[in-house]
Amino acid sequence: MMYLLNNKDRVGSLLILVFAIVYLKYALGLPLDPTAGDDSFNARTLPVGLSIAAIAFALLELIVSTRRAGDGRINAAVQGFSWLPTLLLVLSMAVYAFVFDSLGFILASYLFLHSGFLILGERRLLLSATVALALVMFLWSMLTQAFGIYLDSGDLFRFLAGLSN
Amino acid sequence: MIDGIITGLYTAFSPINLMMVLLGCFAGTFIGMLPGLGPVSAIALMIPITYGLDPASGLILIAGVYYGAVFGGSTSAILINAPGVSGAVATAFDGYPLAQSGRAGKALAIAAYSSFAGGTIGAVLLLVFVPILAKVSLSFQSADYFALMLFGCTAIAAFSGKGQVLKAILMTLLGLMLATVGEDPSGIQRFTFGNADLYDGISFLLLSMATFALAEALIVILKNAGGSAPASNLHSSSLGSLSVSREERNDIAPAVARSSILGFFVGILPGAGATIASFLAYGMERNLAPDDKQDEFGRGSYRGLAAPETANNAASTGSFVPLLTLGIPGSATTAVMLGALLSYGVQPGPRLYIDNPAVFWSVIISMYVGNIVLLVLNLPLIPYISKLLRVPRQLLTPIILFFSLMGVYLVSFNTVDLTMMVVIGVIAVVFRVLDYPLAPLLLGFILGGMLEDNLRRALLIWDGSFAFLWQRPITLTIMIITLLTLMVPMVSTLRGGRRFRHPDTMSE
Repeated sequence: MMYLLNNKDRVGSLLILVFAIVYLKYALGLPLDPTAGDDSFNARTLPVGLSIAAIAFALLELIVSTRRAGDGRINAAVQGFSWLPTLLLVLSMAVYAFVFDSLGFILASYLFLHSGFLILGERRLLLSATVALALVMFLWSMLTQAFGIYLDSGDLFRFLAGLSN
Repeated sequence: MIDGIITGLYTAFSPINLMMVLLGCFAGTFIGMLPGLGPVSAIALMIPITYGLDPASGLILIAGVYYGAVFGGSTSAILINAPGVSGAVATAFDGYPLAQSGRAGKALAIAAYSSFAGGTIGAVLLLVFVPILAKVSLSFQSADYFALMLFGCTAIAAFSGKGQVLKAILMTLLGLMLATVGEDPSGIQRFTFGNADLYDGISFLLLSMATFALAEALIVILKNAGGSAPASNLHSSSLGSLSVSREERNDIAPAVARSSILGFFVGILPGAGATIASFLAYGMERNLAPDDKQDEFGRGSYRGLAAPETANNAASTGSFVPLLTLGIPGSATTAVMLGALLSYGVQPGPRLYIDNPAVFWSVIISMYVGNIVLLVLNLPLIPYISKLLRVPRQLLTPIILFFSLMGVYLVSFNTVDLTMMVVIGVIAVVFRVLDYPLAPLLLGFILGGMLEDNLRRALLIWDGSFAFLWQRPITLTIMIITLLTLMVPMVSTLRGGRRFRHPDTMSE
């Protein structure tokens, strides 16, 4: 089983196959426009057609990939990958999205950039902090002052501003 | 037509639009030079800025970014043997050996002159062919458009190379399926699961940023290309002279002329694009060269450098033909442009020529202006611009990620989009690692809405019958071409044989 799954083509087509089956299940449950009568084309037509085509092609790819020559092993393809920094960076992006409303543009962006620099191995803390702060402040000034775009200062800033008043 | 050209000239030469071309070319050169970031990422990064502009200015900026990024990609191919775009791979064959032999400046100059010539001849051919094709396509109906959309989807799969055809079809279908998320024309919510953030569907900008800019930056980290080192240890002093002698110009001139025409016509074919054009031109010149010159190919041949550079620029121009006349993108880049046009409220296709002559002609004229900007301003500045390659990757990559995230946020001001972008970006990385092309996904997503609208209209006109597929001659012709385009590589794939992987032709 593991031997079968250790193949880029097969895993990719399996992922799409599963997605297409789930998509088809929901497509068949889509509501129809009650005012449209028995229209030949409704909200389900294209999704159902697409999912059937995707299932057919995914199965075909699964069959064809077993006959295909060449090295498509996943473990060979991912050999030497830097998983930790990539995962940490993905996590930092997710955290950035999560805390953006609370911390506001300046603080959240600064923390994201600074942590990104550190994750990728930048050890000069002063340089990291300066570049991150300079970039964020430059962008903030450009967007808010030059283009007149409103950027949320964040719940934390509003809370602290409320305390000081 | 003359009125249209005058309107286009007036629009293209307005101060704001000249500034857009300049800005686009510079920004595109900077971004395109970074290994891993191609024209699609460059355009995706710039799109949020264009939302505040009128459609003509927005598209002019994007076209400038496109040309700049192609030029930037060639620069990194020559200087550090790291083509920023797949269309510049063939450029590196002779460009890098020239740079290694101390003739980097000359190689860059030849690349710039060839690009200029390719772009210029391409722009002239565009000027001739687009109005003719636009007039022909005015007779098209919904049924024909539906067939054209199908052709657009399948052509990409067909040009993906052996072993990639089925994968490209699957990714196109995935893109088409993603396009159905949101409210359909009859007002029914599809696949929104009651989430108000999905009512308008997935934003094309979010998808293009996540699948290209974000995914490419993450792949660079994953592969640890260069580690914490700068992108290049290049020193500007090592570039050498930027001048090209008369003899050298005479040597490359025939190759430039041939490659321009070849590149333009290959570029018109949906799905073919700059990569195939550059390889074809390189192969053609090597075959045509005298025996003593053939040995120079791959070791620093001026013709070997000029041919792919000319062809990829001419093909980039050619890829605008199906976009501007039929409303179907011929490459991932023009697919992103199509998405941008739709978001400006401009419908590309034969009516663009009539309804928005200012947009239509100013974009064509701006392409020419963009070529002049690249030659006159960017080339002398290359020694300075190339210093960007010395910025450490550990600083550059988070900044690229930050700009990608900001690009999406500044359009919707919704942090849910940021989360969605991260999720889609991770899925895109998984498919990249599995060697599934992402460009067809984006193309399927962008064509999805139009494909459904035209199919709906065609069925309405034909009383729910699919007879339009064989009873309308234009539809039937396009459908036959579509089936042939799809079946030939598929049969070849199914019959097996030696595996041949083509570079991802849709990445430029």
